[in-house]
Amino acid sequence: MDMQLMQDIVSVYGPSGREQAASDVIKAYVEPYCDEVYNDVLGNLIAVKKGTSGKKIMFSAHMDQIGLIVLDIDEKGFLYVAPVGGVSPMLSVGHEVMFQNGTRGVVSYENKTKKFTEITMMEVFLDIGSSTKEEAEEKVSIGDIAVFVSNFVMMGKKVAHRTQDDRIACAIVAEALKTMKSEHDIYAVFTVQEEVGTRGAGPAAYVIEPDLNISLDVCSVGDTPESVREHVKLGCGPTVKAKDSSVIVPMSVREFIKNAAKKNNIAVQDEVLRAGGTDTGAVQRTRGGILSGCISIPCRYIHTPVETVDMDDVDAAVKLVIACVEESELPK
Amino acid sequence: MDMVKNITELTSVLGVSGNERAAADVLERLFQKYTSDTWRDPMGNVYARVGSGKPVIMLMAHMDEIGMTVTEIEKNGMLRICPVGGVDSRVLPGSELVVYGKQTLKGVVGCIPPHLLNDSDKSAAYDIYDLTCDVGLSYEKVKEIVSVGDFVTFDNLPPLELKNGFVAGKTFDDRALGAALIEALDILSKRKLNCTVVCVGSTQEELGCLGAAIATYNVKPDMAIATDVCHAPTPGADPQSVVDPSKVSVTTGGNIHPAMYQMIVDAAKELNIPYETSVSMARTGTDAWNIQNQCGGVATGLISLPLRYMHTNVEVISVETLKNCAKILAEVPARIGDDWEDKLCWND
Amino acid sequence: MLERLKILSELYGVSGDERRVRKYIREQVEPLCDEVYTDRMGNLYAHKKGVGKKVMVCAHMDEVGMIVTGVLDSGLLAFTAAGLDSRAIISKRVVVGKDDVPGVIGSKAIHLQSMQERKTVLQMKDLNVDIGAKNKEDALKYVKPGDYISFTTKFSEMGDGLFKGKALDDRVGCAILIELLKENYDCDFTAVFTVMEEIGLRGAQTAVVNVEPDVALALEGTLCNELPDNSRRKSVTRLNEGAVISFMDGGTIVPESMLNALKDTAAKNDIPWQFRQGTSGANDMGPVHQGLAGCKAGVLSVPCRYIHSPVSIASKSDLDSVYRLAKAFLKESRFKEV
Repeated sequence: MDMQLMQDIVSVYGPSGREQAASDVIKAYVEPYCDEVYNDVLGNLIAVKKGTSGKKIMFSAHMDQIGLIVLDIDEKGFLYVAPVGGVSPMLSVGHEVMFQNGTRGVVSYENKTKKFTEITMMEVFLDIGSSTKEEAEEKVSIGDIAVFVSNFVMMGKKVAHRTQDDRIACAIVAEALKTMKSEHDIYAVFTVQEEVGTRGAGPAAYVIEPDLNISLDVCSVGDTPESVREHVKLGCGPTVKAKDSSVIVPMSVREFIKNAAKKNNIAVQDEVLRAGGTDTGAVQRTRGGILSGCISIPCRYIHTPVETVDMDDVDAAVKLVIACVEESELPK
Repeated sequence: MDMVKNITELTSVLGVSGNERAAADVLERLFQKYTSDTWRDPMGNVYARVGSGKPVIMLMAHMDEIGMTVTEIEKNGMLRICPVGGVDSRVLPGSELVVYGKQTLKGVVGCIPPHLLNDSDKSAAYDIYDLTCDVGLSYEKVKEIVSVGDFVTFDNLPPLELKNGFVAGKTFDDRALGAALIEALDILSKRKLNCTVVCVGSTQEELGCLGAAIATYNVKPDMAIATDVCHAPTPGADPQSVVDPSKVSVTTGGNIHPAMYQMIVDAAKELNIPYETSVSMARTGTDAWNIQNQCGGVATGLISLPLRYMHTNVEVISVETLKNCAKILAEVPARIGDDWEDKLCWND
Repeated sequence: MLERLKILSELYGVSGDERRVRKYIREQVEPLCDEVYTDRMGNLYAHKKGVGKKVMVCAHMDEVGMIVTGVLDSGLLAFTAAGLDSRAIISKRVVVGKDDVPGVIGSKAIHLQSMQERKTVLQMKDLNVDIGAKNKEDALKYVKPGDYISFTTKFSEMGDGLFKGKALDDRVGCAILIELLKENYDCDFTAVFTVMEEIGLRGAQTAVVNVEPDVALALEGTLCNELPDNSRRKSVTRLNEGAVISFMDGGTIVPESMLNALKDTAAKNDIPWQFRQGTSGANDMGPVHQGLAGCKAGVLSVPCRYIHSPVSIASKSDLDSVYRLAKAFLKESRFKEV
């Protein structure tokens, strides 16, 4: 993995519905390796590499991230917000945020109204350093969306960042595009609005009509102290999804990915994700049904500021994407 | 035709939501007694077409059943499982399961003997995540046969014939109605048809009627009748939400085109079949919900078979009522006249 | 427009039973359009043919209400409801079924309640409609399971430039949309009067397939929770502060280009507008913007106090602002920018 590419892609601003900046960064990286790169009407970034077989493989990795949208600005210049996607109020407090125009802020809460453990988004506010409403309005407008900023924390093979979900998958697809060779048409789709209910992937698949879709997302792990029981562990390879709350992956697609992994000596794990959906299901249910599977990157602490992945899993996932497109026979 | 035999065949195979292939194989083979025009799609739906021309009427029963999937293999070889669809964890302890790995394994959901439980233990219902499926093999042996993501189902026993034409068994929700589709094809094969009828065994109903939407997109029907089961009276059930097991339930409400409701009722009256109107203001929780909103709108009807003890291994139905469902399913398309398009217009 | 809104508001049109509203609107719009048609879901389409972008504007015809599920031996009607709070429907007048059979929703007299009962919320299943039937057999002469039940609230002007009535969500949108059809626009324009919005945005799901719009706009009646002491964000919108522009709700994030086009149109035409300062609730644009290959969607609303109850209040000036903003957006071809 090109660490500069990874860092650039995971760090760029791009909450659900406002992904253009993220799209532009990814586009710059993938354009030299593709025949065509464009945004569709909803903002999905679609990178195409032409093949000769007449078959189409689509990869989908979502580029949006969770955020906080400004609902109101009070007289003293504090901003009240609503979540965009699954944001925990408690895990927001004490963190730094950034708006599209670069305005920085920090998150806190009304400490008289409720105990910290009982707060909802109604009591959470942003402080952008303004003293009056007018001053705040010069920097930020109602309806603007802030994202959490975090450091790119390198801990040996493990790397933590706020937005591993799902920019790490965008980075994996972008990296794989550099070297992949395939007889099939490859449609790498960097989707929008996954975090608010997988809204972008379906329309993209509707237009592309792929023969096979493979989504890439992160999945939770059960290898931290006293964690909820999960089968997947960090560092044991990317996973081949069997089920999440959006989809049951057809056996033929799972076998296809596993075979490609086996041929190339890539270790993979089986995944049953108890809670959470992915673009996989949205694509599967487009038009007359599309064969759809998912490769996940094991990730600790999902939807917290320290989403942590293992670079061995990341590198293996790049190889697995490349291995999949080298297969002549697609699943039926 | 022997309906119980068809039900037995259809319910003897695995078909957990998302992996309905075995059930689809049986249904397709039974369809092929009446037409060679059968096919599948990537979602696993199975189709059979008879007749030709407009209108196209789709009759649907879902093939999938609730079940479980393996989430983890414990160090002692026991399996952790999670539900696929609405599994009542309370019926699991003491149940016999089948695990579909590289080989088929028998399994038992263990429960702690009462001697070892105190009163508060006994008063809390089991949670599926705390239960284990014991296949009686060591970790090493299980690892060779079972993978995370493999499907698990309740054990198959053949249907049990009870008094007065009642039958008990597993997966009558909704394979019994699959048998009704077969019987409807049988009736239609003896009648002249002025339309196209496409029978569909749909997939993933228990996960939110996912297959039905895809099937509708593929068939592009003008009209559709979904079939499902509804609740027959059991002690403690709300009288407004149950239907007598001798009657076919015909649904009306937002999910149902008024003309389809009327066509179904007219067919029942013509055949002297006892029916009862069920009312559902919005979501019916059946394939009908995901048929109606496809392809720019499909005129959709819904009939249901009253059933006791839904989602257990001992679902009870009346074979007579099931036959009546089949008769209605055949009668509606057989009675289609030239005025069908007018009937579906909203001439207020 | 207000006279037409009065008629629309007083028509009975519970989700799934919009025929009276559809009939009225069909008569109104037929002279104004190239073609008027329905789909099999029951949506009414009013099409003004043109070239260029396909623009679809939606307003939903249905209103919250109830449906008869059964008749008790006593002759009282059991029902279920969609989108209603059971606390707000007690002691109201209703009509049932095609023949508008009058009825009331009663409850046990306060004298007969224990102290405990007075504090208990009555659920829908505890409530019944009384049409005065002697018994079940008698009741079935007049009504049957599946009949829809609607409130009978009268529409009238009140307060300072306000009006009250039932079903303002979304007959305000219907009234504006009919008015918009009187003009011609530089696009292929379809007004869709949708069904069953309140029971799961059902009509919109087929409308998008039948119209295949490039740009879509919903006209809505929306939350206006202006209770004393409520901050601006808790009230979501305010009466008399103008047309409501949404940036995000439970079903849609409005694209920046659409947001800017609407704000700019309002500013240029001196039309008062306000943000919808909340993100809960969804509308027809949710399924529409994700339909087929996707499209750009926006939402304009009239603030309505007490929506999803038997009576709401809205303002004439807000109604006018939404109309003027929607008209300017279309007339000035601002949809070309999104």
